[in-house]
Amino acid sequence: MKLQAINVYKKFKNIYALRDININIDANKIVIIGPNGSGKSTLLSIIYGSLFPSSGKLSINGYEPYVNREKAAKEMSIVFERPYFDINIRVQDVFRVLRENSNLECLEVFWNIVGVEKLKSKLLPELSSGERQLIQLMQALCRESKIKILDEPFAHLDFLNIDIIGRYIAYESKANYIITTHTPEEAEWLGDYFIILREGSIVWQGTLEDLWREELYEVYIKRKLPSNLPVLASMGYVAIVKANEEVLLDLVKRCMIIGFKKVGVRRYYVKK
Amino acid sequence: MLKNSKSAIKWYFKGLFPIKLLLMLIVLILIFELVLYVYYKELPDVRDKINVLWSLTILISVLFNPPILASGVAHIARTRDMTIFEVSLIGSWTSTAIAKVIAIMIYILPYILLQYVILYLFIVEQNVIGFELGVLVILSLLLYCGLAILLTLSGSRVVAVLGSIMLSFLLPLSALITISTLSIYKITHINTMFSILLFTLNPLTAYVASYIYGLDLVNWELGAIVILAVFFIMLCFYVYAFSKKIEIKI
Repeated sequence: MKLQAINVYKKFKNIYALRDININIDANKIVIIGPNGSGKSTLLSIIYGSLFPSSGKLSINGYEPYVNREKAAKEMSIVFERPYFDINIRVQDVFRVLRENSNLECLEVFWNIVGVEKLKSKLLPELSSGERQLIQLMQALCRESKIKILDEPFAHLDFLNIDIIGRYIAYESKANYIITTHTPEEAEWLGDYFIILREGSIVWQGTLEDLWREELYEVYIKRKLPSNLPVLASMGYVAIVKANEEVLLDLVKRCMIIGFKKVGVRRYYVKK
Repeated sequence: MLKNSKSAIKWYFKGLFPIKLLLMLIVLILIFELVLYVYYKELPDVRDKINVLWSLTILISVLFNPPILASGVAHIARTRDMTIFEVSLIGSWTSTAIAKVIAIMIYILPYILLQYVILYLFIVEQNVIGFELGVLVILSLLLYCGLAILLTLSGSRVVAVLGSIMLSFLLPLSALITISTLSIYKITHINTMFSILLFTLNPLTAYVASYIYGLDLVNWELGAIVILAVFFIMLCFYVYAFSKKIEIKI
């Protein structure tokens, strides 16, 4: 999947939601990460074609989705955060429509393994937030489409369902994905190219290999971080430190830290 | 596209007819019309019969059409979240828009047939006004149906439902007030544009009023063509705007 953006800006009234977005990548699974209000959903909306950029140009596989919306809708399916369903349609009605235009193996995973079948008689407004998310994921992942756009796909889901659906996305699905998340571990699990947004601008983009070139580690803190570690950023129970593996391994053995891993997409907090 | 449209129409057919609400509306409509019909049957004079027929057309265009239209609009006016979900599920903006239009047309069809049958019972008793009144029942809803569909572009069900009730009540009423005012001042000759405007806003009542007050109204065939043309333009604009122009942020 080729995603290209040239000087994309999006303005709502007087506020810029996106500023000078430039992307030129060819990847199967792109993950967009950023704090609340960083412009992730706005960028996804433009990629899906439901929103127009205020200026600049964005194309996916060679066409501008907001210009050729019909093609975009055919080739892409989408999951969005906190859906509000207000019509009295039953889950089995969604399933019936999907049976006509979907990958049946995927439907089988959702219907029987994830257990959506148990919800078949429920009306959409009666569903809990997690159940609504499952219905959305079933729709987006199973409908025949080349690109799946998932905005916070695992929000409200339990770990068991995250495991089943995440593994489906990571190993079984042949589609391309553009995913947003707040969870760095999810991003690193599913993505092969990362775009980090903050306040509407891209602060970093690249692969995990790009991040790993530096001697930076994420350290899982046990109560308090040892004072001799040079900390670049601290985020609750995780800190980004500049150190070598031997020092960190020694700290683990001495039970002074819980563990460590090579730095991931949390690195962008370093710039704060 | 055809496959998508089929799925979209099936999707919009789900929950299209809210049985309890429709039953309540139809019973109310039938009670009103039955009372009028009993009175109508007892009248010996054709002129009085036409006056009752005029009252019936006022009831249809001002009282019965708005809630029927609004309840149909409530079905096709969806939240922005729901719209994105549907477009993603169906895989087409255009098919989704077309399905909405077809759904509301299917929704109002039984109501139109019911009114046609009732009007037939009234018309069959006199030989002044013919069965073109059946066509006018359809026309009396089409313009407002088109406006209501356009209101759904607002992305708010409240705006669409309240807006369609207001428009389908106030605009025919304004035509009615204008016709009544003209009759008070015994003005029968009006220019073509004014005539078309009155007919377009309330074809059923305007047509019957032309018999009662001798109002120099545009012939109903021309009026029908104007309404159909406006309706068709509104539908095309709706499908175009929905599939190409509306912005929805997820």
